[in-house]
Amino acid sequence: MIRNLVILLLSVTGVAGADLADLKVYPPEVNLTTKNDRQSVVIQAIYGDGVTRDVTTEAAVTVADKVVAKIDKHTVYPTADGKTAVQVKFAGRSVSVPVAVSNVKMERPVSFKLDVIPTFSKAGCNSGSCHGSARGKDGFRLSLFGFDPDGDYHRLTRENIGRRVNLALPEESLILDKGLGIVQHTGGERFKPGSELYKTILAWLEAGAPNDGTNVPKVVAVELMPREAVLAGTGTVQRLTVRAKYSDGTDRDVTSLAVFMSNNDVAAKVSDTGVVTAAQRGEAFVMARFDAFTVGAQVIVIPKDASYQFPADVAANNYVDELVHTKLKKLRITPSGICDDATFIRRAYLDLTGTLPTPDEVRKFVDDPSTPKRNHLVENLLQRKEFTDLWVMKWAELLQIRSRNDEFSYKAALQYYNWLQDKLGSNVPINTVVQELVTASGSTLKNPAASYYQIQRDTLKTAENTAQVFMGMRIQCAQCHNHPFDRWTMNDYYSFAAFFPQVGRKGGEDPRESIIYDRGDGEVKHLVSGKNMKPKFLGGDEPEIKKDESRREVLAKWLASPENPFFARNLANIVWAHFMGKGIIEPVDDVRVSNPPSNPELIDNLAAKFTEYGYDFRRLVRDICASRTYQLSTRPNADNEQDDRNFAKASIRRVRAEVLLDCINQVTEGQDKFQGLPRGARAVEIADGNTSTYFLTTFGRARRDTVCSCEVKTEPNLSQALHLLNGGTVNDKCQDGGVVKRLLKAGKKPDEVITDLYMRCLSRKPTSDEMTNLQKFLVDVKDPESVLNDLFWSLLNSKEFIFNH
Amino acid sequence: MRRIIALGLFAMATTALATAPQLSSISPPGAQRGTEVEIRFNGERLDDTKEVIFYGSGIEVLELQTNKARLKIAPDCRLGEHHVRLRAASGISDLRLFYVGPFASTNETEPNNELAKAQPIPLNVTVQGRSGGEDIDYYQISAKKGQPIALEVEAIRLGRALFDPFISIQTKDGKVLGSSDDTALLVQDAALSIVAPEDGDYIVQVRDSTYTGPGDTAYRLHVGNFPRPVAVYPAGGRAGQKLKVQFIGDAAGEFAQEVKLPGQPEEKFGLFAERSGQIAPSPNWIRVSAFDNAMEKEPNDEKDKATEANGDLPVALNGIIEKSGDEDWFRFKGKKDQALEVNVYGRRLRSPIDSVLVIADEKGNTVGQNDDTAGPDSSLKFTPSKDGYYFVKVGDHLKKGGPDYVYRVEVVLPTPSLAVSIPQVARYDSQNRQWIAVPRGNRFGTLIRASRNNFSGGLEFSLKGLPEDIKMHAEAMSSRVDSMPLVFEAAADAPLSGKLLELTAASADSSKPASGSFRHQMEFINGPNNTFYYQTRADKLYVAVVEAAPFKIEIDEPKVPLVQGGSMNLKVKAIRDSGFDEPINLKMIWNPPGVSSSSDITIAKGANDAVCTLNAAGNAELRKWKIAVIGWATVNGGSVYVSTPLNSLEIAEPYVSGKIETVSISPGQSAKLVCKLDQKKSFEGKATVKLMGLPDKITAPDVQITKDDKEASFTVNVDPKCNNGSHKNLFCYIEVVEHEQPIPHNIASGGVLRVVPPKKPAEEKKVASAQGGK
Repeated sequence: MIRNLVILLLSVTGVAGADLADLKVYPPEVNLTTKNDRQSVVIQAIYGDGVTRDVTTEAAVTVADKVVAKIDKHTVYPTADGKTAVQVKFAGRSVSVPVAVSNVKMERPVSFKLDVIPTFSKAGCNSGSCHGSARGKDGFRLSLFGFDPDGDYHRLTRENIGRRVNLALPEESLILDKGLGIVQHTGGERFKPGSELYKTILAWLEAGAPNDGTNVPKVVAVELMPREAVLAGTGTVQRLTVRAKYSDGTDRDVTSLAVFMSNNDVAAKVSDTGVVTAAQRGEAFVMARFDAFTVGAQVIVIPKDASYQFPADVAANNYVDELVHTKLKKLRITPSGICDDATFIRRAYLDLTGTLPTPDEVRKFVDDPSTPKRNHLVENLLQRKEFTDLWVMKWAELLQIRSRNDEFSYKAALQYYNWLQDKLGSNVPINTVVQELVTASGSTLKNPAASYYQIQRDTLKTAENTAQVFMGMRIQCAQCHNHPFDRWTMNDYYSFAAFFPQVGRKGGEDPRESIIYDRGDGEVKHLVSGKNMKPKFLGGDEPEIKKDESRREVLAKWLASPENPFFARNLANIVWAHFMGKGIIEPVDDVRVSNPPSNPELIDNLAAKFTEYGYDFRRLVRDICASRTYQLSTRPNADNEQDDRNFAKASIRRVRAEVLLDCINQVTEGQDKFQGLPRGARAVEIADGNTSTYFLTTFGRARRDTVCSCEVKTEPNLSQALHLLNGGTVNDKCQDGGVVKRLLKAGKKPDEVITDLYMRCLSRKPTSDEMTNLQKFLVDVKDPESVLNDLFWSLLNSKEFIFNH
Repeated sequence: MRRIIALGLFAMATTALATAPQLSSISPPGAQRGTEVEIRFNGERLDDTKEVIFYGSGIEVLELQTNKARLKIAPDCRLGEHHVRLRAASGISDLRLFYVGPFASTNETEPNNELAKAQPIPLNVTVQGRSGGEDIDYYQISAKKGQPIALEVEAIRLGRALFDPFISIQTKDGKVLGSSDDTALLVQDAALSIVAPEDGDYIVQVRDSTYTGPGDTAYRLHVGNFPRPVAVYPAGGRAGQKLKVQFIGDAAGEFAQEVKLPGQPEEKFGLFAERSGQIAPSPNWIRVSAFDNAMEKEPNDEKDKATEANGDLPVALNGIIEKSGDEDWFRFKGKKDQALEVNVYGRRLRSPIDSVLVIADEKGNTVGQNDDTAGPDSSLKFTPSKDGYYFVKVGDHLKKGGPDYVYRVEVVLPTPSLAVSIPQVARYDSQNRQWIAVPRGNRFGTLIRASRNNFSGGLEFSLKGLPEDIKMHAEAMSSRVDSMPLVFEAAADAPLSGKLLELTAASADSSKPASGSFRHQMEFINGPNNTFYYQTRADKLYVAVVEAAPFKIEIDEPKVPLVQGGSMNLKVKAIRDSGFDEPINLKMIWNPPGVSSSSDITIAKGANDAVCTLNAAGNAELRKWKIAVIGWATVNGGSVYVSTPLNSLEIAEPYVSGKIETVSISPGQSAKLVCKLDQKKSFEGKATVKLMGLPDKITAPDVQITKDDKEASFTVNVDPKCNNGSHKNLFCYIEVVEHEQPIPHNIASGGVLRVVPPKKPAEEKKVASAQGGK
């Protein structure tokens, strides 16, 4: 009978074609302690084509031993101490979930930290826009999302005594009246009379509003289940269940207390009670926040089209493609075709060397019949000095290499840059480079890596920058409160910062020099507790550090190692983003629970490979460039038109400022002069972030004021367009370079010059239409030079030139 | 010995051509010893140059012409930095640096800024070139396989501009064999040595290390087979001893040399390394001390293996931190209560070490430690609490080490010492008025400072060899102060001439001998945050008689004292030559302790006097001091300085003191304010008392008192529009007159006057408060 029903349902939802592949019950085991415990259960069916379906209400659910527990509306309640199991049957499959019940006679007393604070979070009382703001709201302040429960207790019970809580008449406490909205409350009604939230607070008040003892268990983990859902068709739903684990080994169903959010309501919405509803095709990351934890689940929404077939001719060149395709298959998206050779050589030159191929190089490549010529080209470009230059520039941005008046001399900046160039040029593994930076001591002029601690001299900021640059984490928020959208608590923040307070700095003999050393003392204090924090790896363990040991040495060993789960992922993502125009986590330096990777398996694999390659990022570049995914055309198809997260087509990217200027110089055979570099040096070689030109600034060169990846701007704006059209750069360089004049002088016909200019700027020949149109301008012209110069100018102003495509 | 060749004595100018000669540089910046060379002086107002003064021996001026001179440099002239000044008829130039080297000089010939256009030069030569900015200079040399090649560049040491040199040597196909930017030995200047790997040509490169800074800056590049050790061990010895030293760090290997040390201790003595007939162009530095060396005996990297310094203190402990993480231990016998000074000489002798010093007792307890008191060098004082062994541990702050990490620890008993200097008169200018230029028939004054070490007491100054027609006027320096004015006076017919002299100060108490002499610490090339890239020191004072100035100045000697808490208007008079009416700037050379004076005082154009106001603190010491005022005016485009004679200034107790009694007055009303007086010394006639510190809208007419009055009573009028408030800074100004000169007093400070609202009738108040209560 159930089977029939399922078949019926399947046909209705349009996934009849696929077989049931798996049946999952969440949570995988049920632990009930004390009388008032309970556990909601979610049942998910997984089909052969990847589609999932919430079958919680359809499945047959029974408790084996009805003495021990009972089930009501897919929630399990304890009845007697003992062990039993919940039996789930659906579509011929059955799953048994063990149930353990203990202390059923005991009633768990209401706890301020475990019960009351979560109600404030759920009701939104302690959010940033309400009483959780730094100054509170309407005279009442709570710590943001409850990071300081002791302070909250004080403010509720001791501040304005007798006002907020009324222990004589608990129901008349202002805190309840406000929450119910029955007295003037800017926040309006936050909960209903008789609701669970109301009852919790009232119970606490009736108990005399006690504070917790010192042994209250802490939340150690929060689970959101299921972690993944592929929903077919608008309106399909998926229930979620959230379970918190405590330091005393117990767990609790906190679904009703967790705060739910979706990062993409267009694809899927989530209700206050944790029910996801599919909307448009796409992908959403649904999060649940409880205590200091934010956890997420991936929800993919696809149309109700069962007939989708991933094209058989889309082959995978390597693991990159396999993982990208797996994701695309889930999304029912077909990737675009492969770009042509001329497009590829231009793209590869720009991405790998920041230069354009010469017309000869294009011709040679396009005509080359050998295979795999694209891989050979990449290999060739990887060995170029320009490849190093490009990455030295990117690292110089991350490390903020920038002179600052008397604080950081140009000499120190230049030495730092040269050091980086030396390391990347000789292919020193990135983990070694990072370890040298983090542990650097001595004179900034003699050991330039020590400038890492001179450019940023504040302990907390050094910790923040280290997390952001090497782990892609923005932990700044956790300086003042637990991170609202990530796992980081203030404890994490100050414990991580505790690696840096012992960095000593003193002046050297040279006025431009600083000497970095380990002072052997110095601590970081927690902002709220004022206690000295022990160094603890971010998201890792608390290492044992001996008295004389350098904390930085200890950190460096972990930071740039496989033990740090974020290091390789972050760098792999940075490399990926460079070549694909978008990170798997985007922005690359904003790794957080609420900003998940678009393809977790892909980023994990790239990270694993990077680690396996001994942190040699040239090898990672080879993998990326060899993939079909890198070689895709920018031309969208009907499936992937809307998608910009899953690498189904190549992205069109404005060439960044330095590369654009270098390319203009390259094709016009012009030169620029930058401070401290000989005339003709390329803009990517500028050592000092402080050196810029109008062109570079207009086109969004990073000022290197911060470590943020957002400093490099490639968004177009009006001044860029005007500068290209009217400004000195393009026009003057066309004229001054004398390219057209030389080509004509060498005996080239105007048609040949046109072709040459196209090949220089766009790495392709003009189409016959373009040629025909251009020839019209040359009819009866005695001096074709000015016309051809105008054409040259037009090409440099074309979108095709200033974009990498 | 020094050589001063005065020329042009016949050409007595009737009018001064210029004043304040300004010597900015000398070209070329150096020359080979044993040769004759022509040098040019670059600067302004140099036309009346009368003399070229080289400090130190070995350089003779053969001929002086306008802006140039011909020098004869003795074959045994000391190598390295020499100091030179010009004396013009009207003044003395700043001191500039000139280098004497062992090699023949050749000039850079442009274009040599591409590798392919490298300028061929022989070995053992000094190239005098110019670079900076993005200019790269290439030179080509030839060498045989196994031949040592050394390079050294003098750039920053020339004291001109921030050309921070980078040098390198490479094979013709681009293989870099050695490069140098900054060195511990030469700071920003660079040096390196290699052994030629093959017969053939090598390319030497010289450029600014950051391709920035002013272009076209002079440098001297020495290229040759000379030894270029980076360190010498031990870094010192006993005065007069024959010391065997080991030169370390030359690519061709270490080598020993025996040297005879000077007979007297020297803080920093330059040793020139010599090998196979070639000598290094600049020295390695050691200390010449009055006591013996103890040399470390490895292994001494633990307390239990400490090297023992036998014998009595003082002693010098010598060692090398040979590898990273190394620590060296010594021990010596200390005596209970015998105060000791322990000084590490490392960086001060140009060793790369950044020393950390720890003193431990026999049990290993730390009794003293220091890192950076003497620059990166360590220095501390400690007194043993009992007889026994004490341990000295030396290490590097960054736990680094190497064969050139040479150090010397001197454990000494503190001895009295003294240094004399002229404090800087202009910010960031270490050369301004660091000389004595006395105009004929006039005076010149300067402030002199004595820094006493390990003693206190009065000092007497002397200037040996001062010509008879110049007089130095100076009191003995009180033990209470460390500076005072010196005034020099030249006879009207004194010949225009100059002399380098030794200015010494000695303890006035012969039972506690201490003496010291003048040092001029010079700084060249400004860096960020008011730092300097190059510093050096001269230890003679140049004193000269220059052409007469068109004005003199004198203090109108006060007949009355300056009272504590009071002030004095010191009148300074100008005696102008007819036709000279330029404004004259004045400044007290020195303010006695507790006295302040107005700055920026000018005798206006054409005027003949100005007033300098002196103020005495309430606790200024009661005694007489000598003061003088310096005055300067622009004459022929340069500044000419003259001084008043030394005059006496007495600081005395006030004649009267007082206390203001607090009053409250309402706006629109007037009331009495009383200042109770305490007459201490009688005065003649009447004295006017002014009530000071009153805000706007409050007035109080002056009152007069005699020596018998017990109070001064003021009528204070408060304007109706005056705001309520408390005025707490009231005081009384009294001008007591004696010898027809006023003696201004400021007394009764801290008086309080309250402006309060008028009292309202009682009934109104009740109604108001009742309404307020509603």
